[in-house]
Amino acid sequence: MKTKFLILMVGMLLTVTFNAIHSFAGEVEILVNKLVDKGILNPVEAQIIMDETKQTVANELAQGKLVSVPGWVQKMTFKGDLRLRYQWNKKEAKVERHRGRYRFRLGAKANVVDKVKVGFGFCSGGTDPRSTNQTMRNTFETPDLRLDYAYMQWSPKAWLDFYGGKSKRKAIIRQNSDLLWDSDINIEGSAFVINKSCGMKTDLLLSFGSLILDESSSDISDPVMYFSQAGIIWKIGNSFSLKPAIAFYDAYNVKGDSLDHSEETNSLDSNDCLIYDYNVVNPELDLAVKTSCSNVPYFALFGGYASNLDPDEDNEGYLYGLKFGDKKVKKKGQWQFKYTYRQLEKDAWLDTFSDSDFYGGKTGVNGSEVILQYALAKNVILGFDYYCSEKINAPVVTEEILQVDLLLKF
Amino acid sequence: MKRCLQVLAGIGLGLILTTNLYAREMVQIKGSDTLINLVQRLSEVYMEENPGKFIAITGGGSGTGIAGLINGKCDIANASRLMKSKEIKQANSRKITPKRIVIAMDGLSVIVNDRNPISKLTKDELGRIFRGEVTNWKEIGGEDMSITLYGRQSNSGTFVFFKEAILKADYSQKMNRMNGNAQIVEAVKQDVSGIGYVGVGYVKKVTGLTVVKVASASGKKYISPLDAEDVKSGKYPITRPLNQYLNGIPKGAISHFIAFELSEKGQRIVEEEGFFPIPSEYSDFNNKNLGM
Repeated sequence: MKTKFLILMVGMLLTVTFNAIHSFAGEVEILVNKLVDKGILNPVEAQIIMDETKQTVANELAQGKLVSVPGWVQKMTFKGDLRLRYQWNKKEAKVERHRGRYRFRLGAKANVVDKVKVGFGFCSGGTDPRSTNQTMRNTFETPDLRLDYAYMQWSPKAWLDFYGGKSKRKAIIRQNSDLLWDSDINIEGSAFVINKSCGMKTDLLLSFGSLILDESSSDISDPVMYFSQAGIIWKIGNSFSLKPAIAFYDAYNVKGDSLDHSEETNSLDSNDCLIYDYNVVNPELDLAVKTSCSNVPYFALFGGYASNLDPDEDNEGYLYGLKFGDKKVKKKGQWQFKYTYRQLEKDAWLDTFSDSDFYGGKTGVNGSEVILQYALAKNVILGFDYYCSEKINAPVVTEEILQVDLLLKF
Repeated sequence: MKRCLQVLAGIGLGLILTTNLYAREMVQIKGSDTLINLVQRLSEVYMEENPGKFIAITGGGSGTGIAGLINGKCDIANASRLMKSKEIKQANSRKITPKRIVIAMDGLSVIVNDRNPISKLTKDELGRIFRGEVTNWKEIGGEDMSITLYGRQSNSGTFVFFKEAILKADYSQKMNRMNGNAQIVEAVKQDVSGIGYVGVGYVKKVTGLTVVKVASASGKKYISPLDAEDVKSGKYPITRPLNQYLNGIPKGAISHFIAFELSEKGQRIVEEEGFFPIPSEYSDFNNKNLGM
């Protein structure tokens, strides 16, 4: 009798909740579970009520008596962040700058069919692929919202992914630092990524693909970049992990061409075209330790080296650093300190891709970076980032940048 | 002449057999991989006892069975999940009136390799594992090794049920999608880092696996799906009814077979096949749906 009464109650509730089917189903489940906890219903009765409710809702939907959130919305997941920044710049012989900046990003991922997804994201900023910042200026000018990435991901196997379109670079080319790639750059082209466990606490990482750098309607020798990367993650005991990796980049048809968004610090001819190829070998190594100290649970050393095989001089770059604190800064109270030193010679790498905050993204520079991050609450992170960099060759000019960030993720 | 007589005799025998087959009442059953072994056994015993009757059973997953019922390709759809609104709409448009009955109870079982020390998990932990939010066993108190997920394909009712009951979101993209329960059992037996979910009927007599105890929430009691009383009473957190869908109130051979499945003898076979008999609440539910 009480079961019938409850089913009747549920039916009555259904008729007044046309537009909130999913939250309604959740509320009925909570209600029914409470009744089980209090011993009013037994679990089998509860299950029958829940199944009847679901089946009634399905019937009502089938007859068009209820409306639902469209299926394509249900298949999507969203995420985004807002970063508020105060930035101070000081460069020798130039005036100091104080800027208020912000960055907004919104991304989504949708299941198209089984094993195929589409991801896309929008961001603030201009056309520069190395920055999504918007500086507060021009009397409240309405800024642009741009396409940050739009790609397809096909996963025919659990360990194999294919990406096509404008993809998130970090999902394909994994780096332990921004020596070569600014963290805002998302790449265009296609790539395969393999991530497979080999047993013995070892994961194998492989990626390869081709990136389209430019296209000309009057020239068939368009610049492209072929890349391949291989690495392993080797866990030693419960406390240590070692990640050696090596990447090879072959920027094809860039010699004799000029690339958009270049800082023009690579070697150029009289027509402002690049005089070298960029065939860069890039080994990296990470050593991470999970410590027994509760205040500093994580410590890591990392480094990387890059060498462009075409020129004979000014063709090397390197970076080394350490970090400690928490491995990730997400939950309230978590923190991390990071220090890096780097040198990137004039023709070690294309000055179109390197970190735009480190001496404006130029090559032929060296210097240090210090980062401190602290989570004020879950997904609310306060960060301090200080750069001190200078040109390698005379005249040596030093640049300092301090960024104070409040990052809010959702 | 002798050869001609032999051919004619052969044709005659063939005609007699064919006519005899058509004279037998045939019931077509299609659907759930979880239910196929159980219903196969039920039909074998039923046909032994009823020589004039013939039951044909195929698998393909709950989705395939329900599609078969809608398209008139079968009389009974085995389903380990409920029908979706889209399917009901299709059925209605073809003048099919789906009726649901419950023939057995299943404690959907989470399995790991027996070399993995993990033996109990909460529903929340299971959700995080299969959504891909937890990727290493050490994050939930196990050894430092990556988690390998084994689940079913999207046409499976078990795939849908586990997703709705546990994940409440999408499965991890990294989950290996296997054809059936038996393939998941084999994969987890061979993979020390593996975890999968299967009907309880597939794990009762298998070695090399640990059947994980599950709690509805942190702090609540961990319960094994091998405990018949806890599954029958619904206390095991991933208890589910195993269903059959029919077109309207059954008559004739279909009704006769359903009555056998729900009889004492039928329910004993359910137990012999590793599942659990339906409790009285579901008997009442079936009687109501069958108009009894």
